[in-house]
Amino acid sequence: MKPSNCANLILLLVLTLSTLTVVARSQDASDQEIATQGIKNAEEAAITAYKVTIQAENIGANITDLTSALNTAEYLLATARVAYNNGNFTEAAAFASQAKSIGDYVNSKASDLKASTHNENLTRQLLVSLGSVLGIAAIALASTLTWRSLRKHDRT
Amino acid sequence: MTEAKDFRNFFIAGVMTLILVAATPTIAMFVHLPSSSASFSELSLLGPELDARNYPFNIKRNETYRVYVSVGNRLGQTAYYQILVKLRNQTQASPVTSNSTPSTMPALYQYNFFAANGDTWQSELTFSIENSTKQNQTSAIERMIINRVTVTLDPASQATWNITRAGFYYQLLLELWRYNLASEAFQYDNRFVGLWLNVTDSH
Repeated sequence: MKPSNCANLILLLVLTLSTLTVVARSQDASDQEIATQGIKNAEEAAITAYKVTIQAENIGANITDLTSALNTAEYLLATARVAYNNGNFTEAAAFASQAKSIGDYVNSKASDLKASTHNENLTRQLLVSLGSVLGIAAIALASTLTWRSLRKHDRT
Repeated sequence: MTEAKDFRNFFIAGVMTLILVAATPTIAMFVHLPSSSASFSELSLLGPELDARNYPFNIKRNETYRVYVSVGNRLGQTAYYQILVKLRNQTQASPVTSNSTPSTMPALYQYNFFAANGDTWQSELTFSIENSTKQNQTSAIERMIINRVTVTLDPASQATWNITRAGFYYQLLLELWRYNLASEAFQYDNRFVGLWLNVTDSH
């Protein structure tokens, strides 16, 4: 082999290796960006779900299951953070994605629960108010009749 | 003879009382009296047998120690908590209760969790010193493992020789933070616990 051919071959080899390194690095950077964004999205989903859950709780909804689901999301998020710190960006993104899904699910369930509890509260308020009004009317009527009867009794 | 008009006022009072009783459920729905019970969070650290004894103190390198951290929610509603695990020496800033200031040391590890009102959350905290050095009268911890996560302390946490107590002392701090819905951020909840560690034998 001629020296010029040998030099060309080495040059080609170096170029190929450099290209592969650049591609691998950019892939790593891309994976890291995806994982970073995934963790951020999952954190936001958990906070949004928490806000709606609190709103549901404040109007009297039972949110025990939702709190438990939120803790599962937090556990997955913690696992994602550990994977991220260890440089396992693909794994981190996968865990963050699962955490986000649970956060979104809790958000949706909490919204439904909030709406249904609100409706139940309205129905109960209506029934209680109606009961009170009827009760007051009955007391007023009964007392008027009783008073008249007593007065009539006095006159006779 | 007693006539009806003689006890008219009693009759009216009785009727009004009955009306008030009938209206009470409706009034209760719209009038909310402020709760008299205080709202607070509890933070505690338990030993390896889940009681307040046998806390790790004399620490050896590469040996894993276990304690338990627990948080009780008595706030009246579900809370989103964060516990930050920090390490400080005897001269570095510790949290100040009088003005609710957390330690300025960086967090080495964090727990995030939700606790319903009345619930107590509990979790294991394992730690070990993986890499520490000693030079003259100064000790430095460079790497720890907390809950199976390797934590590199950069810069290394340093402590000087304590002449009175003849040792190198660090404090493992656990600060309780809580998500504030108004400010949309975690805020220090003015609760912390600390575990003093003698790392003299860990070099």
